[in-house]
Amino acid sequence: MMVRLTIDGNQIMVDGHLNVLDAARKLGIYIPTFCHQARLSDLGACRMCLVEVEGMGKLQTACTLAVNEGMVIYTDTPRVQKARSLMLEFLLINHPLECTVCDASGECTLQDLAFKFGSAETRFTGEKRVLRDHIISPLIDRNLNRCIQCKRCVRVCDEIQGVTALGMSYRGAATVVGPFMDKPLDCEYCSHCIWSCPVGAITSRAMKHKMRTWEMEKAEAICPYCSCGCTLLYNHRDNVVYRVTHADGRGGNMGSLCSKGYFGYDVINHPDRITAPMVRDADGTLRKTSWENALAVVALKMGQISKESGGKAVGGIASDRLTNEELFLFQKLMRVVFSSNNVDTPSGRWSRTVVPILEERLGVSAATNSLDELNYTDALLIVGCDITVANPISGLKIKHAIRQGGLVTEVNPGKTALSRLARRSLSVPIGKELTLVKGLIKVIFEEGLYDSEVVGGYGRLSDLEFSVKDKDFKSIARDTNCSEEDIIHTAREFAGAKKASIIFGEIAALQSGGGQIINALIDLLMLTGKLGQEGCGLYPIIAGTNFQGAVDMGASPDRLPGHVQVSSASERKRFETAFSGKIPKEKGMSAYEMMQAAAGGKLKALYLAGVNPMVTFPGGEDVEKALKKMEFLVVQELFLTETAQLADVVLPAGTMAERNGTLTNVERRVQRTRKAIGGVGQSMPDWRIFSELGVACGDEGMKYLNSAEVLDEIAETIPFYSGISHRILAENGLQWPFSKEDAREAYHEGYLGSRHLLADGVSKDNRSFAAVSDWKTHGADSKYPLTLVLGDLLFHSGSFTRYSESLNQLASEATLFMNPQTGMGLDVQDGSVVRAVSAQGEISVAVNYSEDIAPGVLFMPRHFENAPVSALMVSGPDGEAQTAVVHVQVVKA
Amino acid sequence: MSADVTLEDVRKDARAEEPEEQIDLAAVDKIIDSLTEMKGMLIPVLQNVQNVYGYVPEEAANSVADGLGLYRSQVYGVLTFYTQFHLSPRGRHIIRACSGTACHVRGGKTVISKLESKLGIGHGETTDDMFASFEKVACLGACGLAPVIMIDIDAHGQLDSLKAERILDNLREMDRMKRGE
Repeated sequence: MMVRLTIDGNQIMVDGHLNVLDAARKLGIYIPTFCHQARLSDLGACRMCLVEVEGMGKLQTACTLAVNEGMVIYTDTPRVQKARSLMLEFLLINHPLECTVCDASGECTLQDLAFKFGSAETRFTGEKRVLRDHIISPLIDRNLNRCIQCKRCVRVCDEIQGVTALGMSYRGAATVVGPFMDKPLDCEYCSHCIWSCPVGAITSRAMKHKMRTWEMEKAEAICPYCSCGCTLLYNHRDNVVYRVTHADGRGGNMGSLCSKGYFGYDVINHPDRITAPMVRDADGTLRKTSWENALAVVALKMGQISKESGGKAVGGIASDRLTNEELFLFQKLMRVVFSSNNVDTPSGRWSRTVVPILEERLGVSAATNSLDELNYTDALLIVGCDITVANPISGLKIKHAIRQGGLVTEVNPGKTALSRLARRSLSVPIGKELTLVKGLIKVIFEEGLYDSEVVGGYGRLSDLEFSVKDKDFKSIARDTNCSEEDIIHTAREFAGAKKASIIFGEIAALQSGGGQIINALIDLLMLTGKLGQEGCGLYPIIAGTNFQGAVDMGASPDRLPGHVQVSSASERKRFETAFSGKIPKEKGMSAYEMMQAAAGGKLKALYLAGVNPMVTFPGGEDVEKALKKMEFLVVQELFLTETAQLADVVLPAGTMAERNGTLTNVERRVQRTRKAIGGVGQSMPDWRIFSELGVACGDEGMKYLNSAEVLDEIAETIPFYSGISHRILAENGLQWPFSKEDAREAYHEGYLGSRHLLADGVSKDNRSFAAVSDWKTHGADSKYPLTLVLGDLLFHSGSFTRYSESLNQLASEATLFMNPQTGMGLDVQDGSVVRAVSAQGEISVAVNYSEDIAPGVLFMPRHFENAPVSALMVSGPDGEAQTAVVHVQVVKA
Repeated sequence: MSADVTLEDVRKDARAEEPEEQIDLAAVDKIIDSLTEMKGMLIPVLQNVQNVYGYVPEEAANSVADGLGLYRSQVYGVLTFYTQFHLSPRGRHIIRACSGTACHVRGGKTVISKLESKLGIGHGETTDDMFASFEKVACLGACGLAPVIMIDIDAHGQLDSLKAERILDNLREMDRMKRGE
């Protein structure tokens, strides 16, 4: 219902659900506030938004006053002005006037409003209230005396983050904000409270007294730490990034960040950054040299090996943190200059398992829908994925959906931050996820919860029905450790919901036989008709920042840019013309295969850009042996990592804050990231290194003035990126696919690209079920009876964030998480050191009892050098290493 | 970042303030079980917990939060908002002295300062031997008896500092006898 009202003489028609504050802002009328914040509930606590309403005696708080037909409002009368001024005078009675040392100075709402509306004099001569305070956290600082009790931090912690670590305690003038019992802050360190504080009561300790707010410039960039692709602001001055701030309302994250995005910036100006190229001398030591010399050495050696032993003897692995431009240039360099299809990213296993299934079943290897649609999902099934860790900001969207009444069912080997909020959290043993999904399909068939007119025409429908017949609900429930009701209700909710989606992650996809789970999930979506509409779809969640970009850009041994096969002669021809060079026709080796070929002496030269196989690649000592055997090893890095120390040439690269470019996040959104600072020392952004190396090898086609020129080439060669440019991405990201015309529209109309795919449903060729006949995926055996999940912690991203001192404050060591029940069965105590042994190798690590892990399952983070989990990663039946789920036995050390 | 304070430091500081006693939480679970049928039972649950322990221990507050499906910070907010709840152990006797207007004008101030100096504690504090806790309250509703104090559930009126001292001595004597010292 629309209502008409008058504000300061201006008439406006607005939605009847709005409040007066929103209505006034629509008219561009400014009403000052402290306690109001977008996305939070309104409270009316600060009394700054008081307005005069005709017919109402007292002044009213605009933020809590609902609009009403015929309302006449004045926002700037002498009475209102006086109320504001008095409110400010009250606040300043106790607020310490220590703006000289306050980190919020310059962006403090109290400072601004007092300057604008306050009185220049104070009539209060008494002493200020001084509260005893103490440090509650190494990263988040609280100053109780500065607090104006607006409750924004408490609400944001509850309503957005869903953690509720902060609360208001005591009352009246003594009200303070703090954690339970005023204990050390035990939370997700998401930084929302710092963002929401309108004064300096909650600030970042990481930048305490480092730089004044007004002396820094801001650059809008994309967070390098996961595939959410959050927009953030690097605050910098004199080539130093001093802090990150939230880009209010920008990007898919609407400004929200997690601990990594907010605190992880200190890797940028870390003192250990490599500042000059280095080449290994005749006497075996790495020595600093000039760029010309280093590039000449690389060009000579790589070229020589490629010429003498063929392109197959040369390989390259690039991090999926690199930008699209960089990954595009990298594969061009490897393919055209060094004649090799041996190009991959460390996430190769996902590329080989998940990507082909998605392509075969859905015709596209990406998430079908946008992350924003998660905000309003009615039913969501999450399988084998701790979304709040893999993609923290997507996790916030799911929490939002839950608050709106969305029914979330989680299938994980333990509890996550969502478990407390979700409708149900099913602890299904690893390997039995397939049983559960098939159980859901069984319910759909038995209760006829599918549209037979639509699905009737699909291939293999009877096979699918038959495949779920040979087990009854009782045994399904027993196998999956769930109740029959849980399975039946989950299926009913899913089938009955208007908007229903599925998320799956590494634990489901990367366990051996995980492909069957994905196929069964797609069957479930197709059977219930939950594909191809808004709010219905499939989200494969991999944490790799620009993993989607790497797939799109052809950083893959078997695919060229644009997902096309290397084996296709016509596509190869097209790229050969575009690149004016030859592309070998056989597909190359994956990252894992390259390491094996290196061990066998078949791969002689390797180019590593931003990857650290010594810590992250499966195989442990085998990796070290393989790398040492390499005739020529180039490592392009930020730090002298374990791998860089073995290199023949080390090239100093740039961080995310030091380059322009684009990234494609997990929802296919191509976004622009901007350079904040110039290179540290002589370091250069990766794309420039690839370009200059190409030129040093004599290929003028590798010459680019800037990354925008590379993007132009991408737009010309990849059909679903056509028309894209830095200029068009200036304001919004764009979700592919889009055409040239779409892109132009984007620039003018705020078009956001393809929010969801498969608008006409699954294509005709793909309308068929997989009808997986197995009931479980490969499980543990008697020798290695425990399932170990190798995953991420909320506070780290790969091995890269180990260089962040702030994040190391939150977690810096790996421990072996296990349920106390498991521990007692194994007779190992909390804190005792044990050996975890797999078929590949073993590591020793301290036990950490946790009720959040399901019995029989173990969890270990894969970031830390104290427990290099890569030593445990076994080669699986498909020839790829098991990087997420391995089977182990635990022995007392 | 210069790590002037680590997470370990912060945790250590917090631990230093804690008593090391172990508390048996069986009673808390029983109270939660008997009262969780209805929504909005937080305050009755906390009251019952306080009746058992004499105060609301931290571990008990944790169990209450988990048992009722609330966040710990929310429970803490309620515990601190109401003066009826106490977060640390209280004395065997609760001495409440009125500082309302009537008592004040009739010399309540001297009574209060006598009690404070005799007990060696101030408002909201408990003697080291757990003999008594002392509180100043706004009004006890017995202005006709001003100045007035309450010891546990007994009111003592028309006091002066001498009478107050005598009452306190008696109380200590009774306490000693009861404890068989």
